[in-house]
Amino acid sequence: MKITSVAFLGFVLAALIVFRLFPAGKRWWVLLAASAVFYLTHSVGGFFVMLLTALLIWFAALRVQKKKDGFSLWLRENGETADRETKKEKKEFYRKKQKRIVAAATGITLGILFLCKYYGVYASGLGDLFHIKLWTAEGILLPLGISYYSFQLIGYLVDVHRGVTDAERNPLKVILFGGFFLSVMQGPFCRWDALTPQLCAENDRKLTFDEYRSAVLKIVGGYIKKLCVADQFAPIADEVFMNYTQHKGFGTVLGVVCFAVRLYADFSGYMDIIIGVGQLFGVEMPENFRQPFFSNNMAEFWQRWHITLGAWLRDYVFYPILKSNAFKKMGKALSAKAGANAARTIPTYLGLLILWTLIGLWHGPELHYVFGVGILQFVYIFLGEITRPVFTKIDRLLHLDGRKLPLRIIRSLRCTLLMMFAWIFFNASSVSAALEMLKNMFAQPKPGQVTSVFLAAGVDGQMRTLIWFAVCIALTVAVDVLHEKGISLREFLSRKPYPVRLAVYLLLAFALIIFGAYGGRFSTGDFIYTGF
Amino acid sequence: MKKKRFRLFIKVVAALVSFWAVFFLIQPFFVPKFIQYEAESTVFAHSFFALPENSVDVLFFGSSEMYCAVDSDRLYSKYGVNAWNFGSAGQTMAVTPYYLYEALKTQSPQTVAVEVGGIFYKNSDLDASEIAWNYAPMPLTKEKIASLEQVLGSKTKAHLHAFFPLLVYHDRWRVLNHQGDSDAGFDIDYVFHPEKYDGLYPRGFSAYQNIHQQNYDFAHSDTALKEIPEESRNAVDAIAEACRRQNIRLLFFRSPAVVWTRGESESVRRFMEGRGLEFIDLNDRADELSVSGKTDFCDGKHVSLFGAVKVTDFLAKILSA
Repeated sequence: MKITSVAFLGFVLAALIVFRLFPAGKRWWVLLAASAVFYLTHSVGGFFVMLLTALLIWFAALRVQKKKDGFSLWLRENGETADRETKKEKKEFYRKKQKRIVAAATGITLGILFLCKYYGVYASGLGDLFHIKLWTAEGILLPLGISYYSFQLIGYLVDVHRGVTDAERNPLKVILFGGFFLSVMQGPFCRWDALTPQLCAENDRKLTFDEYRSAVLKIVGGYIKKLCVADQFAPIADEVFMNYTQHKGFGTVLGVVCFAVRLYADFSGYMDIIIGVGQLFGVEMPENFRQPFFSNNMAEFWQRWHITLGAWLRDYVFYPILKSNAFKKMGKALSAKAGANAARTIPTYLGLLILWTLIGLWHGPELHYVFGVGILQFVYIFLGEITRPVFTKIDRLLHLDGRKLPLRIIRSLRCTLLMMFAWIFFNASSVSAALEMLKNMFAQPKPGQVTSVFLAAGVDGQMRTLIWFAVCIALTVAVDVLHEKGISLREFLSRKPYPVRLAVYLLLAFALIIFGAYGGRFSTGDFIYTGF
Repeated sequence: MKKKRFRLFIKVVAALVSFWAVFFLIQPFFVPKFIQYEAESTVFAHSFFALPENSVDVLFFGSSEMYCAVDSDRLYSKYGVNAWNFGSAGQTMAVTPYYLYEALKTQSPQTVAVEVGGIFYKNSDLDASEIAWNYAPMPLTKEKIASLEQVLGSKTKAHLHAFFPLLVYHDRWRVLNHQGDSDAGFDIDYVFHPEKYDGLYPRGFSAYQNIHQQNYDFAHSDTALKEIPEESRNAVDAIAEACRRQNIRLLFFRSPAVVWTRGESESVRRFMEGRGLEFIDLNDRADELSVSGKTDFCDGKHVSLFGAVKVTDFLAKILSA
């Protein structure tokens, strides 16, 4: 069931009606059933893999909780009599047991993820390299959203271990958390303590008409981003990236720009749809984007782009790495030999390098992912950090104010260009293809190269399409400017008189009808991030 | 509370009415108008439905292979045969019964002649452009919906094409009124101005002016028999039944074509004979017609203006027989 299909809208409507008919405390059953139906329409085999993972995590979380409770019980019984050293020993004993359970469950979950997503690529690569025949996991299915639900469930288990939340006794609630139909496909990465209380809310909060309207507008906005922007830019981007040897100069530049716009509209459009649908069910999903192209530097970009992935990896990977014994030892050694500054920065950068490599790997096992949205991002951030004092001095000398508009625009453009460069590697079929594209980009730019791309992509009306592209980019920037200023378009619109609102609704509806990429002449693709 | 609900009701009604008003206002602009050379379905359909009732004696049906081959104006002016080409680009045999049903609503011809070039095509072979060529210019009737349903294999899709063509052709904002940048015969105007095309295609005949020399050798072409798809068989039966009901003479023919083989010809002949239907393959009579690969084709499928003269003169004899 594609999110862009009429079937999905019907599914949401039916689920919403049933959801509202159920008593408040039982509504999570409807969400569970809807999630199961949604998942099963995509993959039956994948559903059982997801179920297995969720049950494993549920069981592991209960075991962890039991160990925690075991220590608490021991403390209650022996707290007054035991000395400090014994308490410490006992605590460490229970902690180690918990850690073992967490490590085992995480290892199995990541093992399944590795087998389904990564093993085949590495096995065939190694086989080719050493001319040996390896089992390439042929026939092993890739469950829908495996990278999302695996991480989300691991996060829950770690939260139980850390004491952020108690283990859930009902396995169905853990299954719902992992396979919730609004987050399972391509996020956002949700935390147990933020999502589950909403999914399983006991109180009956009726939505007002304005809230329904606001949610529907968010959904419509998401569909416009996906169908009118992302999928209209897609044929040009696809043509340039797939047939990269045939396009040069302006043609390649156009393809790269189109991909950047497409990726943003596709991913943020999906999030808008999901957030809007969530609001209809009284669930607030976390925002995954915050005007990323207005970032001053690359570190900020990643705090505004795919926010929940970055936050998840920071909390569950980066901080644990920094706090690990190995890193602590390294810090101490560096402190003795190279000073406090090195002891602070070197482990941090090493942790960041591991983090970014993992982010790259999360997108896919291929080198172009690891480099484009992994190591290259680390290089950007690292260079940004080490050159920061120099740029601060230059700013001071030239009396440049980073808060002023011209400098902000320049910095935003810098970030955008750096990301476009990285996305060439991200979207190309290989690193060598990306390098070839980069070479072609600077080869004899001629205006006719744009026409060649349009002809090859089979897109009619070049001038009108280019105008539409320009309008889309201008509108995206305008909307983001308003959001950056804290202006909510939905709230702004709700304060306007009815005729104005009606005119805007009609405009949105007909924009979707006329400029939407749907019907026989389009093969509306899946969302890009569903593939991860 | 009651007043508030009433106001909400009024707002919802106003929104729905406004939406549909705008929808049906802009929809005609997006429906394709085929007025370009080699895909003139809109002009053909408009000219046909503008004819006085019961004013045609011979009606021709088929695809571009028919309407470029039969000079109906020559048939009338030279042989006195009051003929009309009611074809459309990409018209397959499965589509022809629908054109026949529409035609018989206003005309009572003595003879119906169907070109069989599209007999081996399946409904699934029709692409979006061909479906548009065949159906977009035609009036909204129950026959249209039934035919669309058969061709598209879906009731929903058929209703979408028939009632809400904006949803099917919405992407034409790229080419509307855009000279020289239209694809596959899509229109070059927002609205259809019939007066611009008066007399341009007399009696539905569209001459193909270009000549491209072909290696035409029907006698030595492939002899392998080919299966006629079920939808084409059913269509032939439907055409025969409609003609039988109104006592119309029915003739199936194949215009000269380089891509046509002896095996295909034989397959059609056997099928037609099995149903007691009259079929003439002009490729079999190429010598009689003096068809030449040098001058009589504009491509492998279509005859040129010179080829059309030969076909027309030959058919005139058949029709007057």
